[in-house]
Amino acid sequence: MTQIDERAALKKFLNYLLLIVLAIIILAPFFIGIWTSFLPTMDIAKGNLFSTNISFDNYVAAFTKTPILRYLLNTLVISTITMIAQLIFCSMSAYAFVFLKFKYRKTIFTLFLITMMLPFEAEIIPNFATVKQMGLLDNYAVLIVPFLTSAFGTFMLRQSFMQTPIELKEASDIEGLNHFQFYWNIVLPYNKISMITLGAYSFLGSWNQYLWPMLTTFSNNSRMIQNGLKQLQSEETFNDWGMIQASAAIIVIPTIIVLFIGQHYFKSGMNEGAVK
Amino acid sequence: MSKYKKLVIPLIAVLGILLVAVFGHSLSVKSADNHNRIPIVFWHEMGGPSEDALEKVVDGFNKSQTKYKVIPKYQGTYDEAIQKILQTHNTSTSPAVFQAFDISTAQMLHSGYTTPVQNFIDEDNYDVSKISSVARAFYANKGKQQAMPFNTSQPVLYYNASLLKKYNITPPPVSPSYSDITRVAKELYEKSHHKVKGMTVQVYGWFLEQALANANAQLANNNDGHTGNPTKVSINNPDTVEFLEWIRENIKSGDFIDYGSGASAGANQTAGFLSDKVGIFIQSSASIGQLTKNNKNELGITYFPHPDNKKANGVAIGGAALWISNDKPKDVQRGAFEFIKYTLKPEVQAQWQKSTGYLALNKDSQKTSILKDLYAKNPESKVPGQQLATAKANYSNSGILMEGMQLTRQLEEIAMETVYNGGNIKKALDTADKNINDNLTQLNRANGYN
Repeated sequence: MTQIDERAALKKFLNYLLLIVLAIIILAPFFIGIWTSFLPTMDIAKGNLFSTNISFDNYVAAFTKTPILRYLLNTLVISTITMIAQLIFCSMSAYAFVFLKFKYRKTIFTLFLITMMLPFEAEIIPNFATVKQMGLLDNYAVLIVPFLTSAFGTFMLRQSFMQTPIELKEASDIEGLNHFQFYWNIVLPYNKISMITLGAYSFLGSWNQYLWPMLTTFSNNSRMIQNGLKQLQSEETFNDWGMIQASAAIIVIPTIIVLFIGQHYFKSGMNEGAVK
Repeated sequence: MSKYKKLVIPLIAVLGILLVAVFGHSLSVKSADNHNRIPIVFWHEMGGPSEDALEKVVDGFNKSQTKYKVIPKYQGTYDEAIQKILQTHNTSTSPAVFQAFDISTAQMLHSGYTTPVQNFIDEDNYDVSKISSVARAFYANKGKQQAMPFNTSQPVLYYNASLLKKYNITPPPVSPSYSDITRVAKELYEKSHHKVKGMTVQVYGWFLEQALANANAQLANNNDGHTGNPTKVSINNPDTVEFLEWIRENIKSGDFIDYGSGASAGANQTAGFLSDKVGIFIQSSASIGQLTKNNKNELGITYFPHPDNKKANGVAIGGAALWISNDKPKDVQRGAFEFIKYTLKPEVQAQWQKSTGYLALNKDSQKTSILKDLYAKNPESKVPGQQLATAKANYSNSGILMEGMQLTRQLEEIAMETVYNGGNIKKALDTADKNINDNLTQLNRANGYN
C-alpha cells in the first residue's frame, strides 16, 4: 500500500513540477515586462534587469506627460459600443437563423459565412474608400460603424442557439410568448456563456485594433490606445523605454480584467442546471 | 432577469458620462482657439520625446505671428504616414504641410500631389544658401527644390573612449578609413582578453548605401536618379565588395559581433555599447541623446569610415522633409511655407538639434549660444554637424531618387545577412542585384515611366 502511495505522490509531484516549469516559461515575459516598467530607462537600455532602482516614476510620467488617458477613454468608449452592438445584432440575426423559418434561410446563412473567408486586411482598400466617401475619417464613427456586427459572432451564436432544447420553444409557444419575449427571456439567459464569450471576444478585438485606426484616424482626439503606444516611441532618437513599458502595462490591465470577469461567469455558467 | 436590468441602467449612465467627457472636452477646446486664424494642418511622424520638441517648434511659430495657426497631428511611422498622405489627398482631412521620410522622395515627387517649395522660394527671394547643401540636394530634382529638409541625421561612428583609454589604444582619426577602424577593433578585442568585442555594423541597408556614397559610387543609374528616373541598379560593384570585405575581415578575426537587423537590433546594439560589450558601432547621429544621457563612459564620435585608398566623399542625409500639399487654397499653402521658413531659423534649428539630436541645418545655428553651450558641455557632439558641413553635395551623396526604396533596402539587408553568415560576397550581391532590378523594372512598367 505504502509503495503505491509513494508512487502516486511522486507522479503528482512530477506533474506539478512540469506545470510549474511551464507556467514560469509562459508567464516570464509578462513578469519581466511588468518588472521593467518600474526600472529607470538607462538601466533598461543597458540590459541591467536586476537593478534595484525601482520606482513608480515611469507610471507618473506616462499619465502626466502623454495623452494616454485620453486614448484609454477613446478606446473604452469605442470598445464598449462595439461590444454591445455586436451582442445585440449578432444574437438577433442568430435567432432569426435558428428559430424563424423563411425561404432561402440556408443560402443567406452561407452568404454570411462567405464573408468570413475574406480576412479584414483584404477588405481594407474598399472599406477605406467607402468611409472616405462618406466623410467619416478621423471620427469615432469610422472606428465603430464597420464593426457593428460580425459574421463570426452570428455564426458562433447560431451554433449555440441550436443547442437550446426545442422543448423550451414548445413550452413558450404554449405559454403564448411572442418571438421577442422568447428571445429576451429564454434564449439569451440560456446562452449566457456564449454571449459573454462573444462579448469578451469583441471587446478585446476592438481594444487591440491597430491597422484600421492607424489608417483612419489622424488626431489625438480619436486615436486608439494601441496606436497611442506606438506614438510614445520615436523613430531614430532617444526613447524613454521605461515610460513606454509602463504605458504598455497600463494598457494590458483592462484586458486582464475582462478576461477574469469572463472566466468567472464562464465557471458559474457551467455549474448552472439546464432543463433536465 | 432582474440581474440584467440592474446592469443596463448603470452601464448607460457610465457610457453617457464618458461621451460627455470626451466630446464636451473637444468642443470646449474648439471654441477656445477661434481667433480667425488660418488653420494649417501639419502631419508628422515624430513620436515620443521628439514629438515634445516638435510641439515646441509649432508653439513658437504660432506665437510668432497672428495670421496662421499650425495644428500638428501625429500619424504613425514614416511608412504608414506615406500611405495616409497619398490616400487622403483631396479630402477635407488631408494635411496642408506634411513630413515625409528620405526614401519616399521619389514617390512623393511622382505623385504630383505637392507644390514644390521652389515656387515660394522664388516668390520670396528666400536665401537658401544658409541651409546645408547636402540636405537640400536630397530633396531637389533638376535644380528645383521639391521639399525642405527638416529633421536631418547622418550616420556616424561611435566609440567608447573610456575603454580605449583604459587599454591604451590610440583613438581613430576624425575621418577614419576602414583599416583604422579594424586596427582599433582588433586591439580592443585582444587587449581586453576577448571580454569586449571590437565592433559591430547593423544589418541595415542605409549603411550600405552610405558606404557607397562615401566612396563616391552610385547605386542606381542616371546619377542615382538625379538626372532621370533610374532603370538599372548595380549593387555588385567594387565599393560594396570592399565594404563587405572589411566587415568579413573583422568577423574572421573574432572582434565583430552581429546584432542582426530590424528595430530590436538597434536597441540591442545600443544596450551592448552602453554596457561595455562592444566598443565601436555605426548609428544615426540622432542617437546621440541616448548615448550621452547618464552614460558613465566617455563617448567618442567620428565620421562614417571610408575606403582605404579613397578620400571620404561625405555621406547622404537621413531623416525627413516638409512638403506642401497642392490640394489646399493658396493662402493655406502660403502659411505652410511661412511655417517651413520658421523651422529653418538659426535659433529654432539649434534648439531642435539640442533637444532631439537631429542636425541643425542652418549654418548660422552654429553661432547661437544654444549650440555653443552644448558643444562646451559635450565637445564630441560637434562631430556630426562637422561631417555634414564638410561634405560637398554631388550626385553620389544626395540620396537615391528611386521608387521602391523600402523593398530595395530589404534586399540589401538580405545580402548583408548572407555575407555576415559566411556566404559568398559576389554571389549575395548578384542575387540582390537581380531581385532589385526585377522589382525596379516591374515598378517602372506599372507606373508607365518607360
